[in-house]
Order: sequence, then structure tokens, then C-alpha cells
Amino acid sequence: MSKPKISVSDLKLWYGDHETLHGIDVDFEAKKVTALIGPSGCGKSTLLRCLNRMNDRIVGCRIEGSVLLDGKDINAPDVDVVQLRTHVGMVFQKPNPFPKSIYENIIYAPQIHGMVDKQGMDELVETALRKASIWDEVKDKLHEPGTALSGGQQQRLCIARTIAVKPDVILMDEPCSALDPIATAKIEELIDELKQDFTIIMVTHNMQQAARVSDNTAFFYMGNLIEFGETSTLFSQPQQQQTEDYITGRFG
Amino acid sequence: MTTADIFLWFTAGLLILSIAAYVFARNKAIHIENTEGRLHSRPNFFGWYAVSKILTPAFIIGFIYSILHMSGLVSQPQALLAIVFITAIINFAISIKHIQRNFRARQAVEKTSKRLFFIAALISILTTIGIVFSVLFEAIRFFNIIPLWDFLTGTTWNPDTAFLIGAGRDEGGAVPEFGSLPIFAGTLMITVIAMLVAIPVGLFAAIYMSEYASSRVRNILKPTLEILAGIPTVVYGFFAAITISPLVVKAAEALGLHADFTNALAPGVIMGVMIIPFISSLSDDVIRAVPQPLRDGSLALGTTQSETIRHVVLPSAFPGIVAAFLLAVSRAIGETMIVVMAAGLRPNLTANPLEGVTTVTVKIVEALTGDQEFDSAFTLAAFALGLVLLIVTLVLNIGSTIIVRKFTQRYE
Amino acid sequence: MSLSPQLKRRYRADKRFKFYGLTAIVFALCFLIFFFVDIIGKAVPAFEQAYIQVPVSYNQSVIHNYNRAIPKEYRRLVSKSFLRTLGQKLEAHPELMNTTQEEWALANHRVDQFLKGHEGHGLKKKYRKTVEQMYQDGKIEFRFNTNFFTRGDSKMAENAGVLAAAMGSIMVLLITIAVSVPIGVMTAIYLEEFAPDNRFTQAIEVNINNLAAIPSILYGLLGLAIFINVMGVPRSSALAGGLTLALMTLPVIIISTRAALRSVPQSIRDAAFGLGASSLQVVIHHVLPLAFPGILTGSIIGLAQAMGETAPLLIVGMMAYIPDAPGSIFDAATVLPAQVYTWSSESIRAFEERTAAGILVLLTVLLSLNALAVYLRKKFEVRW
Repeated sequence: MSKPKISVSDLKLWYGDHETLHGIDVDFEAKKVTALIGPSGCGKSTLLRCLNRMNDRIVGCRIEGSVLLDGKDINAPDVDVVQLRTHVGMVFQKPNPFPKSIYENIIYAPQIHGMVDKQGMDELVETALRKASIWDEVKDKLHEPGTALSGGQQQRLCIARTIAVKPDVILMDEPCSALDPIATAKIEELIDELKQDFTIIMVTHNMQQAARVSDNTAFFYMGNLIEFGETSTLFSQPQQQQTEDYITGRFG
Repeated sequence: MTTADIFLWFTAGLLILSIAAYVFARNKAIHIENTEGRLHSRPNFFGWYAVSKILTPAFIIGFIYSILHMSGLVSQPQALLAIVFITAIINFAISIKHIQRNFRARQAVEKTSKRLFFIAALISILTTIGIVFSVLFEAIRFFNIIPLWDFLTGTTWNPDTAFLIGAGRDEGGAVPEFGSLPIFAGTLMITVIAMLVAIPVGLFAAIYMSEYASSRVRNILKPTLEILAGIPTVVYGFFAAITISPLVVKAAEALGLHADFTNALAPGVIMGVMIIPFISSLSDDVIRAVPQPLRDGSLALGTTQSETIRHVVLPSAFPGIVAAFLLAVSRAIGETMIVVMAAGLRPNLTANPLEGVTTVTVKIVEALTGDQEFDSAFTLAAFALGLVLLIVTLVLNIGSTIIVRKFTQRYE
Repeated sequence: MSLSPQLKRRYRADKRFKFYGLTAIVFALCFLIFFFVDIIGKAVPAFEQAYIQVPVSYNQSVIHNYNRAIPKEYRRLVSKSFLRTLGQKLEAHPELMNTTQEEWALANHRVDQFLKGHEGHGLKKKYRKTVEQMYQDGKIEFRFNTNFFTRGDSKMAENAGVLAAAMGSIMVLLITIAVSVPIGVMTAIYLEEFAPDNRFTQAIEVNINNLAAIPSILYGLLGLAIFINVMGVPRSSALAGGLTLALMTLPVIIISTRAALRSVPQSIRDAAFGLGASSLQVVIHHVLPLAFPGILTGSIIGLAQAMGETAPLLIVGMMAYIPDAPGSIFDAATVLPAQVYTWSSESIRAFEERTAAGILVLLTVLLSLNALAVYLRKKFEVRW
């Protein structure tokens, strides 16, 4: 295995007095799709939110252990959370385009980060939308509100918005759970293309989805990482009884 | 017989009759139940039925009489009372006769009560019509004397001679002038000063409470700020006139400027403070209504908290905030006591906030609290100004409603 | 990772933004503190009143001219309100005739203000020495100002109190409650429980929202034009004021009652309907009792607003000089805020502290009412 993009070791997390993650050790490979699966409340989304410190905003949330991005601890005091998030972007469960035009949705973050000048804006919008495979659908209505798009288009817009910042890692928190099957298929296709450029870590409830799109899969249960491995292996020959029970649908 | 006497007789008489009817009808119902078997409705309903039978015609007659009386057609209170009581007693008898085992008293009572609820709802409509007409009629009488155009665009307000004419001492001389432009300008200036205080403070306070403060701090801050809105305006007026105005005068002197004691700044600033909670509470509500995923989405792109607030949260909450601003403006324009006590009486077309200016509401109070004859142009002018005030505040209120509706549609 | 200059700038902007928010809050809080300190500071002296010990000689001439009862040098130091009572006192106690008593009398407002060290006290130079001497000798002393709570308005500042205005306020408020609460609650019930969803109902709803935004002074114009000029309600009466305020309070009560009715879950109505209750019975037996705390708090807040309202009452004439509590709702009356207004326009210095004291009384009542509303809301808060 090549040098991991993100390396999590002995990560524990508390909400107040309640320990939600009990010492997670996992490595995420660069330019691969890793799926995090497991029943509701198993801690997979919590772990995901640790990777770009979205948990910072939650009062009473405490972390132990380390999360290394390219070998550097992201919770170290000298790491700036705003800068971190430009490297580790995130796509959410429900599409959340800003109540602005499609164009403004894309250009918003690059502008704030000073990544783009006036001339480069159109190009950047087009590139981002093309990479998110939504350019053809929206090129004629770039200045209409992003909220007017269909759910699947909104989610791809959110992905394009994330891509525009040129992150290394994209975190996806059940990106298809609010979408219909056709929109889901399009997103899955997109994820497959995106892994050429980005490291993708996605949480999913849908085991077929994990099997279809991911290279590696991690199975969580009750705040523990039960099993981690190549997707094909994990689904065909699970090493742990709990994993087998889960993927064969005995609980979950 | 004075109005008070009629009122007392009317009320007392009907009250006694109603109690009698209730007791009598209910007792009869109970008696029937005991002798003939179970009734269709419970005995209470028969009591209420009798009461409603007595009161309904009495109030209808009373209402018709009041209308006739007000139009000056009749003035026979004794006859009114006689008719009311005779009808009531006849209806009393009829309703008692109605009380049979199978009579559907409950349905009858419910029908009447629903009508009563409906009439109550009509009163709010009547209030609006009342306000519009009471202002409109007198305003039209005023515009018969002073042309509308002169009123709206004239730059001199000098009604002193109108008061002489009103007092029947038309001694010629100067023609009264009712050019209200300086009054509107004064209102505008004080409103603008108030908004310059209220909008930044209110909005930033709302942002702090909703985005930065913990919920515990917020639960203390919000009601504390709302105390500002609960203080009566007469108190603010006293405070502006006695404490703030002299401060302004002193401060101006220190800067080598001259300020009147009735300067526009003091009432403007105090009015602004009074309005802070309107803006902060309403804005806090709409800012908190912005969905959390929008904030997360922005933060996940690597923006700072203030960038998220400025670029994502505030634009999303914008319609609600604008609506709050418009309501605040209409509040400031209609505010009376602060300006009556701390602003000037003299209409003054100026852009200097240290000079005294006067406002629409001040002029209304001045015109209607003196011992003027009601028909003089001076008094009627108050209603013309009231009409302007009514139209402006209604437009602002309707405008805020429309903005809210339009923007919610756009981003829903 | 070191921060780029651009990021540093963004962070500075971030801090600045938060600082603006904090500044806004601090500004508002400081104003509140300054305001209360200022008002209380101005009001506190009014709760003390100077009394002066003077020899009062009761004789025949007092009956005709009460000024003669007191030696010339003290005459201008004693309140006229004290002198006026001497004749009656003599009638009630004939045994006092031709005696001289040392009595504690209410001091004139000028003496009072002079000793409190207020500018603009108006005490003539020639009296100042005497007054200072008497104060040192204990012949003038400050006592708690009971007059302020037991008397009505008076042209003599030292004798003016808030009782008449307070009685007026209570009377006006009772009328407001009697009119606005039943009508408001019935309107809300109609709109929430019975009204068909048609254009007329929508018109009523829009109309109520507009009414809530109309400036209070226009309600005064309505009161003047309709209640006084058309219906013939006596000007300045508690009835005119109460009715005017009732219409003004109506939208507040309707809006809060509707919110309270709406918070009662549909399942309770369904359950009652399922047992065969009629729609009226459902409302009266189930919905109203459950919505009652909400209606109560809404009404208290609306009435507190009405109680602090002045502008419409000025228009219907409730700013007259009212020395006695009104005997009926048709008599001329004044209310606390209007009393504050009339006092504030008096030029005599002693009225300024009385204005502040009146304000303090008013604020105490209003803040307690609001606190009561908050308490009731917390106490009866039900989560469905």
C-alpha cells in the first residue's frame, strides 16, 4: 500500500460524557474511493466530520488520538481550520446550494480564498461544472438560482462547488440518500471519474453503492472499526462475523 | 337622559332578564326531563337558548337605534328602552314555549354562537374601515379648503390665521398656509437618524445573538434587549428631552457648533434605541431560521465564520431582515410621544440635525389637543396629516409582506 | 503550516466582525443601564419631602384669611395646601380657637428643592438663610413622601401625587380588558376553528396584520372621530380612552390567541369529535382550556402595551388637569403616562423629579406585568 493520504490512529471522540468513537485506526489511500458503512449511529458520519474538523462547531465535543493529513496532524494547534477545509472539502447528505445563482455558488469560495481573478472566473466555473458533469445541463442558466435545480443537479452543483476550491480530499456524507435512483446513478458515475484527481471518502447506507463505487470499504459498528479492506474482498470474504451479518442483511 | 343613563338601563335591564330567562328555561327543561324522559339537548342549552333569544333582537334594535341616533334622525331613548324590553319579554315567552322534549336547543345555541364569533371577527374589519373613514372624511373637508397640491408641495406651514378664522374672527390679513413639506422633511430626518442607530446596532446585535452567543447567553440577552421595546414612549420622550438634548447641546458647544434644545438628534437617537429590539428580535428569528446545512456547506469550503455569515447567512435571511427594517421605519414615522416631548414645534426645512424640526405626529397632537373649534382648517389639517401617515405606514407594511412572499418563493 | 498574509487578513476581518456584534450588544446594554440609573437618580429625591415646623395661631381671622395663621417670615415657606386646611381644622376642633400650636407643615416646593440642592429651586435669596438655619435646628426635616401615593394631581408641586392617574389607568385598563379580550378571543376562535378558507377570511387576516402596524396615534384619531364626535362618548373620559386602547390592543390579542389555539394539537380535537362533541363543545371544553395560558400571556403583554400608551389618549383628551380620581367611566380622567406627560411640561423644578418618580412607578408596574407574562409562559409551557 502506498503512503496514505489520511491516516487516523487511535481516534476517540466524546459528545459531552458520551464516547462515540472508541479508538479508530484507519488509513485512507490517495486517489481512491473509500466507503464507510455500518448501521445508523455507528460513528461513520462522526468520523467523517473529524476529517475536516466540522465537529469543532459542536459544543462539548472532544477528541483524542490523531488524524494525519499527508503526515501532518490536523488537530495540531498550528493548523488553521479554514486552510484545512480548503484541502479537505465536504459534500453533505442533503444538497445545500446557497440561495444564490449557480455561478455565484461556484465562484463564492475561490473568490474568498483569493484563488481567482476577474478574468479566470468564467473559466473556473466552467471547469468545475464540467468536472461535476453538470455543465451541459446548466450552461444556459448560470445566473438562475441554484435552488431552482432538481435534487440531483443540486447535489452535483454542490460537488462542483467543492471541486472549485481544488481540494485534495472530498468527504461525502451519504451524498445520494436524498436522491432518486437516476440521480444517484449519475452521482456514482461522477464519483468514479473524480477519483482520478481526488481522494474520496464517502459514508453510505447503501451497501450496493459501496460495492459499486468504492475501492476500499470500512465497516463500523457501535463506534468501533470492525473491518477494513479492499471492497471486493470485504464483500465476498468478510473476516468478521459482524461484518458478514451486516452485509447479508441480518441487522442494520 | 344621558348616554350613560341609557347605557346603564339597557345593560342592567337585559342582564336581569337574561338571568331570569336562563334559570326559568333551564328549570323548565329539567322538569320536562324528569316527567317526560331524556331531552334532545342538555338543560343548560335550553337556558342559553332563551338568553340568546332575548339578547339577539335587543342588540339589533340597539344597534339600529345608535345608527339612527348618530345620523341625527331620532333621539327618543325612552322609546328605545321600551321597544327593547317589550321585544325581549315577548321573545322570552316564545323561547319558553319552544322548550319541548324534542327541541334542538344545542343546534340553535351553536348557530347563534358561531354568528357571534363571526361578528367579533368583523369588528377588526370595522376598525380598519373606521380608521380609514374617520381620517379620510375630515381630510377631504380639509382639502376642500386647502388644495391637495398646495398641501403636499408647499414649503411654509403657517396656520395661525386659520385659528382666528376658526374662532370666527376672520380679520383679513395673512392667508393661512398649510405647506407640509417642512413637516415631512422633519419626519424624514428624525426617521433617518433613528434608522442610522437602530439598523446597525439591531442587526449586529441579532448576528451576535444568533451566530456567536451560546444559547444560555442568548436567552438572557434577548429578553433584556426587549425591555427597550417595553419602555413606554412617554418615558423615552422625557429622557430625550431632559437628559439627551442638553447633552447634545453641550457636545455641540464643545465642538464649536450651535444646537437647539429641540434638536432633531436627541429624539432621533432615542427613537433609534427604542427600535433596536424590533430589528434585533425579528432579525434574530430569521437568521436562526436559515438552515444549518447552508452554514456547514459554506464552512466546508474553507470560509471563516464571518464570511459565511456575510455571504451565505445574511443573504438567505435578507427578505426577513428587509421586512423588519420596513416595519421599523413605519414604527419610527408613526412614533409620537418622543417627538412631541423632545422635538420642536416649528416646521423647519433644514438638513442640520442640530436644529429643531417638527414631525407629522407632533403637528397632529398640536392641532388636536388645543381648544380649537373642530371645524377649523387648523384642526382638520391634523386629519390630512393623519391620512398621509396612514397611507405611508400601510404601504410600508404591505411592501414588507410582499418582499417576504416574493423572496420565499424564489429560494424555496 | 504558517498562515498566508491573505488568510491573516481574513482572520482579522473575522475578529472585527464579531467585535461589531459585541459592540452592538454592549451599546444597547450600556444604554439600558445609563437610562435606568438616570431615571432612578432623578426619581429618588421625589420620595422624600421636606416638612417644616411652624407656629400656627388659630384665631377668628384665620377663617377669613388663612395666611394670617402663620408669622409672616414663614408664610412663603409653607405649602398653600397646608394653609387651606386650617379653616376646616378649626371648625372640626373649636377648642383650638385662640391658641398657638407648633405644627409640622408640608413645606413649599421651593424649600424642598433648595434643601435638595437642585438648580432652579426658585427660593428667594432672603429666605435661604432662614431655611438653612431651620434645617440645622431640626425645624425642617425630610420625611417619606406619602402624598405622592395618596393624592391626585395638584398645581402645587409639593402636593401632587399619582393616585388619581393610577385610578384612571386602572379604570381605562378594565374597559380595555372588558372590550378587547372577549372580542379578540372570539375573533381568533372564529378564524382558527370555524372560518371557511375563502377570500373574506383571508381579507380579515391581512387586515389584522395591517392593524397591528398602524401607528397608535391614528387610533386616537379614530377615537376622536368615531367615539367622541359620532357616538357622543364624553371627551377625556375613561370610556373614550378605554375603547380607543381596546381597538389598539385587539390585533395583539388576536394574533397571540391564534398562536395559542394553533399550538393545541389536532389529535385532541379529533379525540373530542370522536366522542360526539359538537364543534362548539370541542372548542369550549378542550381547545380553549389548553390554549388558556398562551391567551393569558398574550393578553397581559397587550395590556401592558396599552397601559404605557399615551399618544392616542392625548388625542381623545385624556391630558386634562385631574386632581381627583374619576367617579365613573364617563368622568374626565387621566392615566399614568398622560400624567407623566403633563408633569414633564411643567416648568417648576419640583415637577421634574415627580415626573421621574411617576415614570418609576409606571415602569415598575409594566416590568412586573411583563415579568408575570414571562413567568406564566415558562410555568405553563407544554411541549406536545
